[in-house]
Amino acid sequence: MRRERRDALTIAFVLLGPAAAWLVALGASYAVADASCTLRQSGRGVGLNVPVTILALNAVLAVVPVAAGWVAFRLRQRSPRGRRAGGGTRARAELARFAGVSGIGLAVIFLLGVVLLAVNPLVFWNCQ
Amino acid sequence: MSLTQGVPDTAAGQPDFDGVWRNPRGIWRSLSVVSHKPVGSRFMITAGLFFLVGGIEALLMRVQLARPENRFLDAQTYNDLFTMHGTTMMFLFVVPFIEGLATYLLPVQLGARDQPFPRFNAFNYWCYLFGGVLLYSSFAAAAVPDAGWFAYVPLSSNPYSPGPGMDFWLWGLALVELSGIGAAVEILVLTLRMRAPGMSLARMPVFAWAMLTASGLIVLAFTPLLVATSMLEFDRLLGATFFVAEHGGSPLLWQHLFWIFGHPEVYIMFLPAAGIVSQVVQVHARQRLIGYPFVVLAFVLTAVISLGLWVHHMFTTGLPPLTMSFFTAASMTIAIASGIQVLAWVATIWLGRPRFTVAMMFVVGFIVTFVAGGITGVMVASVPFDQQVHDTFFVVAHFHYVLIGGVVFPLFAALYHWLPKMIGRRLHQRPGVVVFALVFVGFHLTFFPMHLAGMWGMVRRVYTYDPDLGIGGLNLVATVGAFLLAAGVLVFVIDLVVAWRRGAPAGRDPWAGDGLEWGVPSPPPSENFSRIPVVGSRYPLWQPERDRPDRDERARGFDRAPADFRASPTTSILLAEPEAAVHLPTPTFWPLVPALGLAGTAAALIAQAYPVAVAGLVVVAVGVVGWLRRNEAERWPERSGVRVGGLPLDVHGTRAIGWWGAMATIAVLATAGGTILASYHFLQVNATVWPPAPAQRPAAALPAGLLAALVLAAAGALWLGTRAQIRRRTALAVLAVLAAAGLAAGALTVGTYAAAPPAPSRHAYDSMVLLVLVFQAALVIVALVATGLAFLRAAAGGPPGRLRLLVQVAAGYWALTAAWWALASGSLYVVLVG
Amino acid sequence: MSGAASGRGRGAARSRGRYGLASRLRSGFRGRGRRWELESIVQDSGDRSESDRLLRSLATTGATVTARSRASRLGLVLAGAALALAACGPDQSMLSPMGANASRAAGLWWLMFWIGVVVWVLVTAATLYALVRRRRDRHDPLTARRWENAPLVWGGIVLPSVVLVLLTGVSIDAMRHRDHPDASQATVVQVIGHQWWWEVRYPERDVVTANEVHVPAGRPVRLELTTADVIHSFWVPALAGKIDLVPGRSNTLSINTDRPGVYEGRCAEFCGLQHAKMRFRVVVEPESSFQDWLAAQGTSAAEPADDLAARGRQVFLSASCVYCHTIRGTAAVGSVGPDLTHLASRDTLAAGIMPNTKGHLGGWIVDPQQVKPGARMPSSDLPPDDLQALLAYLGSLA
Repeated sequence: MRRERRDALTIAFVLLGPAAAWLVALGASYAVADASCTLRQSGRGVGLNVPVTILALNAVLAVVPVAAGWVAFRLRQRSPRGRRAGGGTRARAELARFAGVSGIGLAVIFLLGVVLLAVNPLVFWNCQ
Repeated sequence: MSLTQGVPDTAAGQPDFDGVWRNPRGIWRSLSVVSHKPVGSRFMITAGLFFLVGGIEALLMRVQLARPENRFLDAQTYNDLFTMHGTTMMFLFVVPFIEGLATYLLPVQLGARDQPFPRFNAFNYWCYLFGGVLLYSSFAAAAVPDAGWFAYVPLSSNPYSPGPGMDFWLWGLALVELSGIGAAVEILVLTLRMRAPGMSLARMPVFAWAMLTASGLIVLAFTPLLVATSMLEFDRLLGATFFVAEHGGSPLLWQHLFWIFGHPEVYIMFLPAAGIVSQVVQVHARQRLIGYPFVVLAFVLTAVISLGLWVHHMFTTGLPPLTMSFFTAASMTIAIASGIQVLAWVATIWLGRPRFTVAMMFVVGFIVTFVAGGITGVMVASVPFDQQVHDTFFVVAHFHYVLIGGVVFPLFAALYHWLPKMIGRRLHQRPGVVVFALVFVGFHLTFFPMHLAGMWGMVRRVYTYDPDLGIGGLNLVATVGAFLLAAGVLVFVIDLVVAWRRGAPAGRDPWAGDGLEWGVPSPPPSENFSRIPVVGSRYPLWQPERDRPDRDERARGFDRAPADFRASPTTSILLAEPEAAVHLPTPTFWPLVPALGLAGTAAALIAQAYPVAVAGLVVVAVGVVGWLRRNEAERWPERSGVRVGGLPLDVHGTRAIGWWGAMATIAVLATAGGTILASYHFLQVNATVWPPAPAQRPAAALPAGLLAALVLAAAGALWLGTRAQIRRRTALAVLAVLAAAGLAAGALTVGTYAAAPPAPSRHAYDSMVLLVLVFQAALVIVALVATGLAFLRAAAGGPPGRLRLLVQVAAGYWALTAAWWALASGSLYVVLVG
Repeated sequence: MSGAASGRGRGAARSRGRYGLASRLRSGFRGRGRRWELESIVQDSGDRSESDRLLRSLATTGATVTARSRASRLGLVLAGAALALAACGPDQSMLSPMGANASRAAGLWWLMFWIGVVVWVLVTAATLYALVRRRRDRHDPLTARRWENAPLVWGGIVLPSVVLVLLTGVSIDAMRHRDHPDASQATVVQVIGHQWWWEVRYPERDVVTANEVHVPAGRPVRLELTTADVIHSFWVPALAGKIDLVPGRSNTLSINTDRPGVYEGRCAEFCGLQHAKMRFRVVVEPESSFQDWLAAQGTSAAEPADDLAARGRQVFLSASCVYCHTIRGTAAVGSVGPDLTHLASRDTLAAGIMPNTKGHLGGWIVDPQQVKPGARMPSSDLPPDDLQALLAYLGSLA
């Protein structure tokens, strides 16, 4: 029971962690950029360095896919392929391999996604 | 009020496994059926009829556009038709059809005997049906909605859409959305908790993965739309100003909320289609799907990224370029997910030995069409290009490539693949080829020219166009194509009817399929599996040697059993180890009652007959109470401590599916609450004055008291819910205190309102405060109902696990209410900006 | 890329719309500074298809539709179909860009189009080959092949990532170069959307007109767009991408072109019953003629030249017209409908849907609901004599 719970958390982190990080990265980058522009237009500017804020946000959030990718990589290594073991163990190995492969892919692609978001304010930054 | 009556006859008489699962027949009595197959079929048939209606609307529009300056339809009729066409296809056809397919199919694929909450399932169907009928009754009232399926404000608000047209749209949609969210909750709980023993996450059919991700999306995407439509109805009915620029509102708020729903909606439709294709391709190419983990990864990727694309429908609204560039980047990222899937399908065909069945043809037609639609999708993600083609026929072409090519073609494949299972008879190959040819050719004739028409300057939603644009020829071709496409659909319907009546018997497994559904008779019996399968492989019918039906005694306990009530096992999320048995309910009319009440309320509100609306709400309340009482009254197997296959029935916490259902509901409510707070801050940032004057902020004492009452209630319920043993007297006392705290919270909500009644028509701030208080009141009511149910359970005595579960559920609602009110108070009373 | 579109040697003249050119020819190019148009037409008609097109558009124009023009309209449809096959569009499309913004969009289109074609052909070819290829190996659906996931990783993740990152870069680069003239350097034009027409204002010169945006060639123009009612969208495919007119917001759009001509535009966001008939035109003219036009538009309405027109003015001022329309220099100061001070100088009526001829104007005044059902203009029941006088007066408001 306890092991299953730990595995469930690991797999949830591997499958959903990078996704959540990307979603937060997008939402926060959008909110910072859009709100600061809107406020500036109505003369209520907040003293925020927008590019630096967005860059810092994304840099912090990029840690999540990196970590999840590492966990996924370990999961995949833990599961030698085609191991002829009894039912429960085989199912567990299958699951670890599946989550490992999916997790690595998700981590890589969402990391790319976060990087793609982060470079935008470096390329240009204005409100018009 | 006692909860001990209503023990079914079968308990007294002889145990009869088939009798327990038998569903009532006859037109009237069959309305009480709640089993997943009849309900799923009803969803599909109703949605299919709406598809035909939406198609006829499309044909009428195509006739009008066949030549420039045509006078076949007038402007008003055309606007009615395109509004209803879009609404019908999106809300009344694709999503309900897919949910119906999943409702029917998933339990059979996953090895379950029914959906987790069959009565709720029936309720969802009724809501959908009544919502659709309500929407279409606008024709009878000669007030057809005409502001487009996207209903942009201010065009859809009172000054520019007077009369009940948009109210029909809003209320009809509200019912359909409710049904959609409900069906999604069913599917979430089913796929996570009710798979056959041994079917670990890594062995789940791809279609189940697709429905799991799509259902998560429905919860996260339909809910903001429900909030947005409520806000628009506030504007229309109460004169609120959420979207009125002069009063601190913002028309862009509607667009944000609508597309936060609208973009995921595309993937809510596409993900199941991708799941269908993945399953069909492996059976018809006789090759297991290549790259299963990659396809699942692509589903997760698609689902999540689709939540972050909404702004790319708003590239022309004048947003700052940096804002838009984020969404260009996001839109490009989602294309990677499509790339993975397409390559997986092609690789599967490549390595397999494909059969040229009709299903396979639709799969191939899907791939070539969807790829084209995906490419134009990448194009419109580019801001400068999108600013040219946005709102032109290029976009019309693009999304029909994605929605017909990407969704309807796979649905045809699904029908050719699974209909033999559902109706027990084969469809004919030769008419099927004709259907495919007509649909495929007709589709491309219709929609390919639209790309050109759009780039040459034909904007969307025009009832006619100027001959000088030089697009008459293109439109004529499109109209001809549309009729070919329609002819294909007609041939399909005829073939379906003929096959249904006298097609050749399909047998269990006409395609030599891989999944559990092919191991049961066609059509499956009411209980699906008289023995619960135990799965040892991702392809149970292809690797039968890995199944161990005899090695799991817990599954063996379900062999034609139990014979005196309906039951199915529940299993753990990751490895699908059997954990408990779930008692599944039997037919009843009760779900129909609240659905009727809701429909009556909606109709009364459209007609502005407020006393009738109140009566409708009373019917809803009566229905819910009757339904819950009936549920509790039937808990006799739990109370008697029966175990099935050694698995307990009377469970609580994460082992009970009721807990998961409640958590899913809490997720829905939390999404709604989050949407409201996000809207609040959006308006706050956009308005020049917020709040209009400091004095209009309600005094802080009442909300603070409210928070204290809520925290007390939540803490009390959590304390009680986590206790190993609940003594009845303690439970009654604690629940009574809880109810008192809840009532106090309700009174304080009303008090907060009364202390400084917001005037929603004065300023969007007031509208927002009103909405926050209304939502808070709704949360308190939900939590009070949950508490009351637990109290009655405790009062009546009975299964201890059930009581704990009900207390835990109540605790969840109170915790949510307290957390949300803490956040909302933070928003209302802590000034963030300006 | 963009060369493929603009490389077909299209001159500015062919962007003449159906009414503009014809009505001008009929009226003998009345007005000032229009000679350049005629010249550019003459220059361009060396191109044979171009002159054909001119003739056709002349034939299809006019207050009455003759059988002959109906036949040539069919010809136009067929020509359109032929053009579709040749994959080149009509003049007023985004694929024949005449302005800086539209050029960038067209350039992006051709880049993405060719990449898309390559991708689509590859996938389709692979799918079809996969279906029909000969299989040698005896085959088990469950066999795991060692490298079976490689195509997914390389073809499904790596390659698309590279292409998409590239496209994102190009697209964002194009956004970066989008020009944003500030108000101090550019000509400012205010455009206000109404159901279903466009109000156009030149704040520097107090000029108000409708459904026609005149801008100088070769000088940046800053359009400031707002709406009086619902959301509209301002789109001139040949010049620039569209921009919405949103209540409570003021959006800007830059037009920057050095090619004189008349460019068709239309409302692109669904705005109610007559969304389809909410058109306008952008007239790009050389600096001098633009200044002349501006000066002329800034004056008050011409005094009636004869008795008939004088009576027409009387009719106008005593009828319900004054509640909605302004004619500067008279007592009519309504603000609901278009400013009519220089009505006769405009090429079209009722938001670009018909030529500004006496016949059309008469028909419009008598029964606008027939022409454009739902339009906010009520029908009138003027006696024939009054109507004639009114038409004479309105026709004199050059």
